Amino acid sequence: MKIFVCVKHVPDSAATIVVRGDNQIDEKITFLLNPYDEYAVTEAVKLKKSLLQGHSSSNQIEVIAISVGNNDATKTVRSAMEMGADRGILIKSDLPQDSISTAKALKAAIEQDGNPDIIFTGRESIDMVGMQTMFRLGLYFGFPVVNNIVKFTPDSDLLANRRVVVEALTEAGGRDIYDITLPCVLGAGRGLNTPIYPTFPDVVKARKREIKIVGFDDLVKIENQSQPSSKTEIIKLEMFAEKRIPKEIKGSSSEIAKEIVKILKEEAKVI
Amino acid sequence: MKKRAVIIETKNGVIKDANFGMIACASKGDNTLYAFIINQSGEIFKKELGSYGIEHIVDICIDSDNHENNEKYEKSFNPILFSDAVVQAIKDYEISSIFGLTTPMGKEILPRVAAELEAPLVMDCLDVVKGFESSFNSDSNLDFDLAKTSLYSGKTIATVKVTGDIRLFGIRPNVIEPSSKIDLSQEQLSNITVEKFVAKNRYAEQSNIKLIESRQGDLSGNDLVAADVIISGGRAMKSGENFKILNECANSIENFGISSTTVGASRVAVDLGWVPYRMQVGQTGEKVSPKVYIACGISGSIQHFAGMKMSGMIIAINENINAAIMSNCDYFVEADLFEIVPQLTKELQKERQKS
Ligand SMILES: Cc1cc2nc3c(=O)[nH]c(=O)nc-3n(C[C@H](O)[C@H](O)[C@H](O)COP(=O)(O)OP(=O)(O)OC[C@H]3O[C@@H](n4cnc5c(N)ncnc54)[C@H](O)[C@@H]3O)c2cc1C
Repeated sequence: MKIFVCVKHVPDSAATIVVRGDNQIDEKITFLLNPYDEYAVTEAVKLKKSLLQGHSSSNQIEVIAISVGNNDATKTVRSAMEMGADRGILIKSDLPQDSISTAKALKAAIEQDGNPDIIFTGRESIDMVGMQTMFRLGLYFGFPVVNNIVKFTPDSDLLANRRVVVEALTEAGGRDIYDITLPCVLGAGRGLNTPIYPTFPDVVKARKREIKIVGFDDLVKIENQSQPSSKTEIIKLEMFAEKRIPKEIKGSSSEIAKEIVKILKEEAKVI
Repeated sequence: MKKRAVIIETKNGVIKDANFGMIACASKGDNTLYAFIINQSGEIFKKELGSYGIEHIVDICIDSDNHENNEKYEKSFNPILFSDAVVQAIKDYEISSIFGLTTPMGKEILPRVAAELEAPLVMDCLDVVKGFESSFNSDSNLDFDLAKTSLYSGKTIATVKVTGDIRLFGIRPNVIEPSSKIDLSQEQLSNITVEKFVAKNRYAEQSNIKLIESRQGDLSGNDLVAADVIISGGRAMKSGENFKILNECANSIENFGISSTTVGASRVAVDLGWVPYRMQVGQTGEKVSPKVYIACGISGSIQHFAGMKMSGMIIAINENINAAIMSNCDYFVEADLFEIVPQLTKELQKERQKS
């Protein structure tokens, strides 16, 4: 069984972003594994462990981390391996790619590697928040897709029955429960699990594992695209201007409360 | 003229307010405007939608005659089934741009439709303008749209060029002002068409995925993403029980009947199990843009700001003058929230009685 996990190398959410040129950011900041992808890696590794307990031999079940990114993204692939992925694939692209081309590249590289049984992703990336790559990937494969899953229950004999039940989070805390036959694409949401925190021996072990590097342009050929004009492209990036000038509200509790009421009424006009 | 469609979201039989800002955005430029209403009768919304500029209403429903489970399909909202129905309607009506809201429903439907059509999609748009009206246009023959969205945890605003025969946009609720309503004459009203579009049930043929149960969430409260006023609590709340003072305060604002008001939380309050995840505001929670955001005992981390920095007004109540939020808000109160919030509730109630 081959379990793929798509991971993305994203700027640390606490990093200071500086815009460079028209549409890029200064990349000399900390990048790390997209937080939602941590749930995806964790679930894949958990599944592998539980299958091994069911006496499958370890070379039958593989967890492969795969990423589209520049050279630095090997760090994120490595992080996924420290968390327990067996090996990694980096689809190297120095240019940023949109969701359509990312999904195409992932599809091509996964297919080249072998037949996937489950492909996990995070529910969204925190830098671009496109919320769509998993759906496109599923469509290119012809696999069913469920995003934002918070519960994953494999069949007790997954290898034979090839079925899983997943719960996806919907509006106001609702749940949609799906019965899925493998292969499939699943986007991990928050609450699916508690991400694995690698130990030092995990980190050492991961160093020895292989990361295969393939070129983006070797996988995605512009000339054989069905909708060549379909594209999104960031043409301009500006800093979000923080223009708030804080004013203090002072006085006794009741004076403060009265002042807030006045602001809500006269300035914000919400009451 | 190009045809644009908006996917209308309703809740308990009423059109959510956030739709009207989306309609204002979609109606820019020369377009024929369609409203897609999924699995409901559009007739009752005719006047309301018409007054915001919708010319055609399409009720999208599923052909369930040839299926034994039709009862079940009618009642529950199945994202796979309805996304495919929207795809069929887009093709049938030759729609060139589709607008939806970046809500749980929009996050299901828009990407599924975009994938199926291999069409570009930008989620969480703050605005969408026609390319030819922009300074980025060098060749007036080029047809593209420009979507504005916030990237990198809300720290930057990006302009995204969108090309393709069909384009999709997920609009962030509440950031775009609705245009003012027009009073429709009888004639104008009768010109608005309402059609039923019966989509084929292609989901029924799919054997590799079945929606076996839809457990509804708690739809009684106001949506966090669509609320006009949000009052949020952080670590300082100390317990889930204490959130009741925020609920009471929210109710006393809601009672004026002007603004939908709800309670939010920081991640810490969620992680400690005090309140459910759906209340979390921030980078890894909901991105909200209320008219007023009242942060109670929240330090204002970068990740929290990523979810609420687009708020119209931010009021911070915090004991610590050095908390980050105190220097990045419109009003701040340096005090114990447990003193201020109940007092505020009291004053709001007094004010309500006056009016
Ligand atoms: C990848 C990632 C994603 C994250 N996503 C999110 C997210 O989506 N949303 C989010 O909120 N956080 C998120 N965080 C966490 C974030 O970094 C902060 O830890 C969190 O926002 C802090 O929550 P807080 O403000 O409630 O708590 P604290 O930072 O502990 O602040 C509590 C505040 O309450 C004040 N206070 C204490 N007692 C009182 C009192 N009686 N009256 C008034 N004030 C009082 C204190 O002065 C302090 O400022 C994320 C972190 C990471 C790494």
